[in-house]
Amino acid sequence: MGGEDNQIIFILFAGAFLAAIMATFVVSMVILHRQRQVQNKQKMDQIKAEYEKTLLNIENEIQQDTLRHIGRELHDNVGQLLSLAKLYLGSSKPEKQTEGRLLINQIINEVRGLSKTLNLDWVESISLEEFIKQQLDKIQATDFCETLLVESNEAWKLNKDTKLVLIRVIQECLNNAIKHAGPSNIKVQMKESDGRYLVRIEDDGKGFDTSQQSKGSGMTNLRKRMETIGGAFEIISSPGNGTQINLSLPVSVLVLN
Amino acid sequence: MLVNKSINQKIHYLLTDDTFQGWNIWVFNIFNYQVSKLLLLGLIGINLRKGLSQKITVSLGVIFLAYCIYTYFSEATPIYDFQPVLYFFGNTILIVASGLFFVDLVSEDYYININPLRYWPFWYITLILFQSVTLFLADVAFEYLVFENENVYFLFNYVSMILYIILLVVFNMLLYTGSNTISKLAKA
Repeated sequence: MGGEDNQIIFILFAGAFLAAIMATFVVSMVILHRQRQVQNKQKMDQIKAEYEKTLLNIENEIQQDTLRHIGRELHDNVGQLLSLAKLYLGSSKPEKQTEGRLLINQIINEVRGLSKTLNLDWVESISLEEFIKQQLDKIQATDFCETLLVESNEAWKLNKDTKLVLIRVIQECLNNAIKHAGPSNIKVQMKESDGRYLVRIEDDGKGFDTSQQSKGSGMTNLRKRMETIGGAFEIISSPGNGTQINLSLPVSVLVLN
Repeated sequence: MLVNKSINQKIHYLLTDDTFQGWNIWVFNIFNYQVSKLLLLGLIGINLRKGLSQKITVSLGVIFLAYCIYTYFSEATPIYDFQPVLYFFGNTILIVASGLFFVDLVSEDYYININPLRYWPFWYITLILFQSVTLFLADVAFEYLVFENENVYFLFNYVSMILYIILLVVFNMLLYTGSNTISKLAKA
């Protein structure tokens, strides 16, 4: 009888003990989950702060570029037109005065165009394809090298912030190609592959060894900027073989944004 | 409780030629230890997010089902008799699956914005876990308790019934809210 009692006590205690262990287990899991939530919130806050910082930096850079561009335009273009208009309008000949008035109209249009570039609203109105095309046309116009744009079959729907970051990264990649690679051809390809949007910037310049750390922080910055918008930055290059830069963004990110 | 022993006896003799001892434990075996365990396992399974956890749960379910089918044809563990191995196995798969749910809870991104205390599956899986753990030894020692210590047998029976009632309340609340979260606002 004593043995049976012991067995009963064992079953009761073991049941209670197992239940206590399970209770501890469940409570621990809830606490762990809570800690993970707190960590995740901190991480999200950090990512958000970094994202905002990146956007602010990019906006500043674009504004500085814009101001430099406006300065150049005022000096080289508007200033010249105004001088010419002053000359024409000062002339006693009616046809010169008419030309002067036409020049004034042209100046008004030029200044209006410049004023539009002062804020970043143009980023919303322009598509990525249009922007890349403009940049490549500018390079082509300087006779520096040949350019080619292969557009995607469908229009990419990007929000302003994502587009702003992409624009800046693409601009920087093209600047790097012109400044350091000395290429004869620059090709930009936009395509959709495996649920990702891809911008491939290729040049046939002198290339470089990607395994060697560069002195500047340019590439790291570009990579970080792409990561900020949920994308990826990949660079393939070797001395004498040109450079290929792949910028990719998951389609889901674009939809979410 | 009204028990129609003559019907029980007829069914018993459909299953076997062994002498009818007055109980129809095959009903208990099938519904309390096979069907209910498989359904509860499926319920936990649909709440798992990790691919590996889902595969483990499905594998456990398939093995358990295979063992259940085996018991119908086995003479060593006949369906009309006590089956401690089946009771052990049934509770074990539920404990393992519940454990997998909790591992998912602390590791999967899906749960990162969910408050478990306001999440119905958390409560019913916790109850299933408690049910399985508390009754684990009592189930395995079912035969012994039934014949040797009725009081303890009834004690565990009441515990089981209370846990099942709470589980039913949770299921009803789940149906009433029509959402996995206690408050629809929390889900939004």
